[in-house]
Amino acid sequence: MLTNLLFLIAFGVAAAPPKPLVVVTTTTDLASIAQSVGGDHVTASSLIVGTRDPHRIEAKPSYMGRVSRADLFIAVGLDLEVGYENPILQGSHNSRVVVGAPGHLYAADGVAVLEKPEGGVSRAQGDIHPFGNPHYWEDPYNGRVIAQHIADKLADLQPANAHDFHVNANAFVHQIDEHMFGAAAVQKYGADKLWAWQSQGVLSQKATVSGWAGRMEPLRGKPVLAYHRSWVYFANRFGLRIVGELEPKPGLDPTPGHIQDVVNIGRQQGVKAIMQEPFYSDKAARFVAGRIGGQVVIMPASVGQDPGARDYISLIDTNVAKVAAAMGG
Amino acid sequence: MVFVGLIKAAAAVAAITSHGGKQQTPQGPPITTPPYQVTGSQEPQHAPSGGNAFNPQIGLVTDARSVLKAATKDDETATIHEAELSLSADVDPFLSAEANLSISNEDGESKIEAEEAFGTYNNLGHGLAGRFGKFKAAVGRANRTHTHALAYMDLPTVIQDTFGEEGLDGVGGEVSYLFPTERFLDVTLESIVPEDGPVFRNARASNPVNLAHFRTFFDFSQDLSGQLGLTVANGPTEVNRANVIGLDYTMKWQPGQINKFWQLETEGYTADKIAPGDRRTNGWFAAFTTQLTPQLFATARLDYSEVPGTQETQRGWMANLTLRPTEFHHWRLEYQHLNNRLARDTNNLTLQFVWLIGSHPAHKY
Repeated sequence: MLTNLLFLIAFGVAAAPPKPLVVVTTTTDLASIAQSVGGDHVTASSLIVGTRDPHRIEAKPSYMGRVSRADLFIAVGLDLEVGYENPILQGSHNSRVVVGAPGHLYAADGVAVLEKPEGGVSRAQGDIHPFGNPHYWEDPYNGRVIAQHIADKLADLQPANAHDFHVNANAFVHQIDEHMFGAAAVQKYGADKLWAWQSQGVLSQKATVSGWAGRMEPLRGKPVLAYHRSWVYFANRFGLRIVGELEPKPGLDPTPGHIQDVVNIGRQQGVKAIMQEPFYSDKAARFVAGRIGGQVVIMPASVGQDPGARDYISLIDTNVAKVAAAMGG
Repeated sequence: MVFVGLIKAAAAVAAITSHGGKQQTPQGPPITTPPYQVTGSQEPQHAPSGGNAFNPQIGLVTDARSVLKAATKDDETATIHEAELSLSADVDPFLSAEANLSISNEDGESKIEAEEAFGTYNNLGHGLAGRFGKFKAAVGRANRTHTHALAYMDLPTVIQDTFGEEGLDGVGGEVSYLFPTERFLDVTLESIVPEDGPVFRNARASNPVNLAHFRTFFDFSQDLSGQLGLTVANGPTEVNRANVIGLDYTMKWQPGQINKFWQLETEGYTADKIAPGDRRTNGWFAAFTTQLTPQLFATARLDYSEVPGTQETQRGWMANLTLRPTEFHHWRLEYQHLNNRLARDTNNLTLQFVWLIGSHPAHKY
């Protein structure tokens, strides 16, 4: 009896599943992807919640407390979190997640970075990011890249569940592919070819697609305005031309003179949509929209900033639907 | 306390070393990746830049002031009040270091001093961190905030009267512990040797100022948060060891939409046993800051201070407007009224211009 009991205890201990990894991310988008990839083996949450500008977050002590219990800390990188990442990591007293430690990940690693400044940078250029534009998650292709990175990192941290992480990441990637091109097109041509054609701007000549690409392909080459440089990756993916920004320089509020310039550009180019995040005042955008006969499209920059943006897939879904509706796609 | 820190540092070395070996990862199903890239650069985001890769981050904050109205014409000066050169970098995988060199103007003479120069072990393991060198003491909240980051030009009267014009700082060591609780709770224990101030005097390595600061934090909602702290300090005076006890509370409202913000901060201190027969002195301040427009902030502060070791009491108020076009520079116009029971009132109107170049460590809550 005692032997059996000891055997059961020993066996039970040996067979006990590893504790779920505690993943803390800076943004809701990363938490959404991490949860999709990690499945039941992970509890993912983000520090930033609700409608907040990820550039202007304060290193609250409660963030430090949460990171102190994390097994993995994931940040967007490219200096998006430069104003608060270090104080949070230092204040957490958690050696597992400091920069360079196994439990730290910049999701940007491996992403094709846009708007990387050539030559020197100066604050005269506004609040620019020396390593390039950090809003890369707005491109669904980069959602695939991020999922893969997170799967690799989780597999490093918890090898026993590595297979599950990669299966989940594959499923997530497949989900993005199907939302992007439609299940039928993915089955017929394969996702690789579709992404390649879409990137080369020849998708509509090569295939019949539905999904996000199906709605956005007719808008390829059309001009749009943006408030901040948050939509560069989104526009690049779907072939929209951002012909002006309401911020005279990144991080600076619109000025009357600059707004007039933007109105002129908008009229000349026949702009129909102004893409803007929900946390900026829409006063300037509405003024410009009224002058050019366009629409202000308030787009969630992250999961949770719109009732429709419940997770990463529905974030892209929401933004595609809003832009397409405003531009007649 | 220093020895405790060194032992913990050794433990941290062992802990970090044990993470060094990368574990083998079983291969999962391969993820298909298209054999092309969209336009853009895939270079590492933190690529080293030649021989300067390990240079510290350098920043310079300059604080220029013009006293437009003062009690006497001699006090109506225009000076570079302070230029603060800050350097920070990781020393190695275990230690990071920071130095703030202050170039200030005192009675027409320029003075350069190491306002702070310390090394920090951020992760000693078990929720512990250690700091050694010269640093601002963990007294309340305003004392540790750099002057240019305060919502007013100078430290509140009670802090100046209790600890000195620049607050309490000194050379020594500190260990902080973050409790593994759901609600944020930490404690900082310090042993420092400060320069002589109004209360603590004649401190030596063998007779330092010891203090503890407890801090907890409340997220009342996504927009509203508060921090509560308790300071208990004990240190030498001319003839005694004095006690200073303080409470600090800060509350901030920061909604998701930018350009809306308010902050309430208050601290109170009581000091006793400075000298036999001395009265117990009390003092406090309360300041409120609000954002009027995207770039314009207003602050008002009330001050009350029974000056330790004297029979003086100071009451005052100040109000200012701050124009902050970006986070890297601001203009501030501040009016301060101070009433001293034993001396004449002072009324100052000062214009301040602060600008920052280079990189600067992010400020904490």
